[in-house]
Amino acid sequence: MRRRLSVVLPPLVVALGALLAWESVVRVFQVPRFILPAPSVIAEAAWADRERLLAGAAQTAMASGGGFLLAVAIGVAAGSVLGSSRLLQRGFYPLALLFQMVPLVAIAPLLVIWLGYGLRSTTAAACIVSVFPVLASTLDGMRGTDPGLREIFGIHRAGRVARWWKLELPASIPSIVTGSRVAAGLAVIGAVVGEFVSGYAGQTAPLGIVVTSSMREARTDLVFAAVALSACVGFALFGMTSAAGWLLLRRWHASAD
Amino acid sequence: MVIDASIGGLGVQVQQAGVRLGGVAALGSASVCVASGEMLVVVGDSGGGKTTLLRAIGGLVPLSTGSIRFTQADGSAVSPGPRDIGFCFQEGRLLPWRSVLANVALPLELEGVTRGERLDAARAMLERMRLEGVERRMPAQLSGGMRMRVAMARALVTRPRLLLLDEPFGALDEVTRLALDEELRGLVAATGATAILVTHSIQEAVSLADRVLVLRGRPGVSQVPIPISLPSRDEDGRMSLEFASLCALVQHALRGGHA
Repeated sequence: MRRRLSVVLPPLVVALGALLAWESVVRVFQVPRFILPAPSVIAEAAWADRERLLAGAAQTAMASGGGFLLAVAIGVAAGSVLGSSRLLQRGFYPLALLFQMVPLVAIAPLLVIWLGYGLRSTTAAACIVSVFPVLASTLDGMRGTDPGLREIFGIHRAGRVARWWKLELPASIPSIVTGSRVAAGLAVIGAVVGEFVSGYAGQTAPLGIVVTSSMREARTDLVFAAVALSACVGFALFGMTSAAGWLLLRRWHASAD
Repeated sequence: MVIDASIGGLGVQVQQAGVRLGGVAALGSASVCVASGEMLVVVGDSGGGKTTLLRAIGGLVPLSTGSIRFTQADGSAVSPGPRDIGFCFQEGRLLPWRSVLANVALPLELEGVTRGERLDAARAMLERMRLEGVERRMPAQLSGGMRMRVAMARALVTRPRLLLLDEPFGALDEVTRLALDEELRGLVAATGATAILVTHSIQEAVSLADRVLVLRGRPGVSQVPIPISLPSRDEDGRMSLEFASLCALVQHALRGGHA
């Protein structure tokens, strides 16, 4: 109990302190609310608009969660294939790197052309920005598989698939988990940026659209509320990824302690 | 202890075997005939090619000169399959994400043995090594000595006819090592398998071996094998005069004197 408190308490105290400081700075210097609204004002606006905001957060969560899962699946699959052959790795790795280098805002219009407005485009955007860390960490894990363990599999003439499933993939899990944690945060960023460009389809506006439309209406308080909610989505995704990693590794890997 | 010496150990004929790795001579020249069921211990300077010789016998590195042949107990030539040779490496090399039981069953699993059969075989092997209590543990939860015994169980689970051990207890403390040495000798004798063990400890070599093969120099060249006959190999035996003089003999061969 005492230990748990020492884990939970410090970040809570820091967060509360920061909010208090923010509130008092805005009040003392009478900062106009369209430039920097006080936390209390943001909370009030968020409560008043809660239905629209929560519906938007659900949309964004779907896009980032879906995109993230897709990225993990594609990243692990592609990383495994590239990791199995030096030739394939040389040929395709620069291409994968290119994916990481092209700015998402620049490809988002293409996504609209190919996939239309709405969830499909934003999911794709989330996937595109988060796939590379998973791919790279899978590749690292595969390459870093203990040669001594490889030799055991060689002695017993294990096939390509058995090697991957029983040796390389489990050996890569620690690094895949690390890569996926990075990817979880990126997926939310990707989804929101994607929504700026291609988010609007139908009645429920995702958080990215809430941000842009509130900005046009000078509702800075709602912009902040939407940003805070998207951060919550990110935290949730990160937390779930960490929990999944812990479950996978707790029995054998030091990183899960 | 159940005795199943029915299969018989493999004989190994090594003739002027030399190995070059990446253009560097890793093993100069080694010749030895290991009889079926014999326990041969290889000692030598570090970097002299002890491990390389063992790996060459196991088919893990190719020979650049000489030959290695295998024979049945009756003398006829044979080429061993992957189940005939059991390896035990210094680091144990257990899969950290698998339980002890699943680790011991791994060789059979990779050979395509059905789940029920391989788990039974693994359990039987663990029981035989008095490891029943730890079958659900993970390797990280075991002591170094325990881990090596699990590695030994894994090496034995395919009922190999030739056991190759590369400094299996080199990382352990003296007391644990001596206990495991005694256990190993009993186990190998009971299975009837031939065993070749590499060590850097002369005492360990003399207390384990039927014969000791000395590799001298860098790259190593094998000397005439030294037969070890001791009235007993327990703690008292290791205190005896015979033991001390055999150690001196091995030491002498290692340092290049004329025995």
